[in-house]
Amino acid sequence: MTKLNQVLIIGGLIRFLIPTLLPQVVPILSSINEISTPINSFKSLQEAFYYFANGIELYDGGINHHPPVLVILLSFVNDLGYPVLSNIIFNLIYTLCDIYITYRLIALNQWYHDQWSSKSGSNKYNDDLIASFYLFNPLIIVTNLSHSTLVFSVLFIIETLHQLLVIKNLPRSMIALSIASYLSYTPVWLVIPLLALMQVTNPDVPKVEIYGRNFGFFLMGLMLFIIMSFLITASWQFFYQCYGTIFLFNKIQPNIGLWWYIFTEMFEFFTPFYIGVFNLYSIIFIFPITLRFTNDGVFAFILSLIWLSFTKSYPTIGDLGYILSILPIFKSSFLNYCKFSIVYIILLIICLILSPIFYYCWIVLGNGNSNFFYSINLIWGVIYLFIMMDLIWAKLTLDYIMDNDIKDKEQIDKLRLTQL
Amino acid sequence: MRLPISVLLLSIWAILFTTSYAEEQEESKAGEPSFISTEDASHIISKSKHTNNWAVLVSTSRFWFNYRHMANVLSLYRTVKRLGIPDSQIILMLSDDVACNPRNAFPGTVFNNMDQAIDLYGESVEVDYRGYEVTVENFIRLLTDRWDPDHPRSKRLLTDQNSNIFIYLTGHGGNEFLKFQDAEEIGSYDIADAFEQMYEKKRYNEIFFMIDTCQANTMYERFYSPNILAVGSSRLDESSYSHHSDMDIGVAVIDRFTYFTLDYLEKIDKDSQETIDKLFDVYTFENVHSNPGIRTDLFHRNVSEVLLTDFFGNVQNVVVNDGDEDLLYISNHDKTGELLKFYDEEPEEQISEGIVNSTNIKTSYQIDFGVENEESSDQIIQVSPTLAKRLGLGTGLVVIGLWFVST
Repeated sequence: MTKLNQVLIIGGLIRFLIPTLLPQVVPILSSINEISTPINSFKSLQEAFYYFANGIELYDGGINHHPPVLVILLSFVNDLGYPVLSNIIFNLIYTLCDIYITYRLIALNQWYHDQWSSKSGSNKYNDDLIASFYLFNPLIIVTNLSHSTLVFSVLFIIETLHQLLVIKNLPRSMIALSIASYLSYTPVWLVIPLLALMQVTNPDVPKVEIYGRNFGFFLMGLMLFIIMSFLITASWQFFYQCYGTIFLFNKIQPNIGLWWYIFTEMFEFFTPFYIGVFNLYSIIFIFPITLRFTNDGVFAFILSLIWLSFTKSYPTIGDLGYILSILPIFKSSFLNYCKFSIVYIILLIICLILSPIFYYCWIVLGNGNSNFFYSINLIWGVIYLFIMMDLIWAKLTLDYIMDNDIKDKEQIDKLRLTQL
Repeated sequence: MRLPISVLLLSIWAILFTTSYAEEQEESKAGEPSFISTEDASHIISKSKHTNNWAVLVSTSRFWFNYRHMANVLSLYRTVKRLGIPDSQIILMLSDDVACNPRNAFPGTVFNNMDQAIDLYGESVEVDYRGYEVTVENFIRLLTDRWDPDHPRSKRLLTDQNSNIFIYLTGHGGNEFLKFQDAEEIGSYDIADAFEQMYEKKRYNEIFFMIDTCQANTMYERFYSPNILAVGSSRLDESSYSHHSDMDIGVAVIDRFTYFTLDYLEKIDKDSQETIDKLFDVYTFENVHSNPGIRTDLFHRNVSEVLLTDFFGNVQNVVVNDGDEDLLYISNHDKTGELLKFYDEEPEEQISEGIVNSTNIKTSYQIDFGVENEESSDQIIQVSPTLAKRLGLGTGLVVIGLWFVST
């Protein structure tokens, strides 16, 4: 039994056995607002199943924000044997999703190592370590146990990367990205770094053909889903409920993100302004990141992922979790030059401890107020920013070393770069 | 390219599905109607023809030694609330605050019995007029509803011609007067004129006037408006007595007349059918140590037919019938009970035409009521769950197919 298989089995068993033996774990975790938001919660999915089974319009109520195709495909599972058997099958589905993601991460790790072993020394984390970074990441375990549909989104984003980089099948990666952006609105902006990545990995294909053809695939995939959703629900309500809620910030339940506080505590006069600014803020940085960092391909994509998670309308701790699990792939390159990772690791632990405490103080005990909880949200955002800063600086250091071909280890250690 | 072709095929297939799987017609239920005769209905619905109940509970005395007057009023407040009158329809006027009086050994409480079983001031007491707001002028204004425009609605007696009002006064009184706040007094003519104004303005259906003071019966002798039933605790030149004192509080806690009223009312419930003459039977000389009086000449109904809940409660008796089923039955059956037919039975080819100009009206030949016929839905057509399932599954299969054909 190889180490990898052991890790996979233990990770799978955690995700399968805990909700099967303790079924109350799922609704409890689903109600914690750091873990699942109204947009991707499993409870609203179950509500959607009920609506669907009883012929009620899925998007009439304002609870369901899952896209119609997802609801219908998963309602087949629900119909199999509600409640016990379907819950077990859902546990199985989520377990298999995570194991699938693990395999893809291992493949990506291998690809990245193959790319880089020519340039620098070959050190990478072993397969089982990468798998354990993902499967034993508590943020991801908790997200998976709460059965939030973020897992499906993540699955398709990783699949996009995998198809593009490892298998080199561009249309499939675009289809995967269209599925991911159909499931939640945010990955749609990843098409920009992805197209740039395609250009970089296939330098011999003319630009227009790459961009045009693949963007066409992406649009076709997205249109297929949207038109089919329209046909299934016979109205455009789903568009407003699934995507309009996200970019119009319709739900202002507290979450681990940065924006809910602005909408609850600031004057309503400013709400349209804030909606515009926050959406623009989310989008506008993708372009410069892509332009600057595409030479190395994946880095732009990873930075865009981090940025989009940072400025997401309804983030969860799972977003940070899966970014942290992707980062070990880059051990052989710039991760060595990250200078202050201890800072944001400690910040992460502090946030995870304080956030539920302050929420409890605010909502249950009533002796705190929303400012307590929001301060932790701000620190959570700072973690993202620290990660970005660290990664960018590490990358620039690496670029400098590569460009000037500095091989001497002592020189590298003494290197102090400054920005001009 | 393969993608547009697949989209086209999929849309054709979807339209075919839609046309071939139209909604099945539901059988209309021929329900039996539940009719009720007018006589039975009038037996069930209240004889007094009132539709809402109000209560005006006033205590008029000040100072600690008049603790029992506050206790009187608060006891009746509690009773009236218990029997169903909501706070929005009760005007509670407490002239002094004995619960928070510094001499109260049990601060924040008002008891009406020395066993201190019920704290009358404990939960959810809504006092409308407190302290020095309880004046003769305010009382008359309340009855006649002559206020400034900015007087709050919760402090007004918003009765109409279908309201039964229970008015209770307690305090220190005399021959045709009642003392307010130790400084002024209201006369029996004043109240009588106020009631006449209320009658002319159609502000009551029936009034039940209860007064527990010394020489109380003199207060109702001057009434001249119809539909007033009045009860007083003692005659001219007679005093009304307190029932007992609480040694720990130090003063008397309840008056005799009110004590026996409460004693009787505690036994009845919201749906009680007890008549008010049973209450009047409790008012004996042995109980109240004075001669209570009842004035019924202005009251058109027989006292033995008046329910206690007509004044103390807020019960509306209703006759329930199943409106939907009756309507359905009436619209689909004629008088003899035969099922009506509106059109001939059409074959199913008609249905595809129906989709072209489809709305939510089914091609039904009988009138159906139900949730599916909601016109406010955003949906263009009615998509059945099976159709939606097939479409969803089809989408999944198409995507998987595209996945495998793309290179």
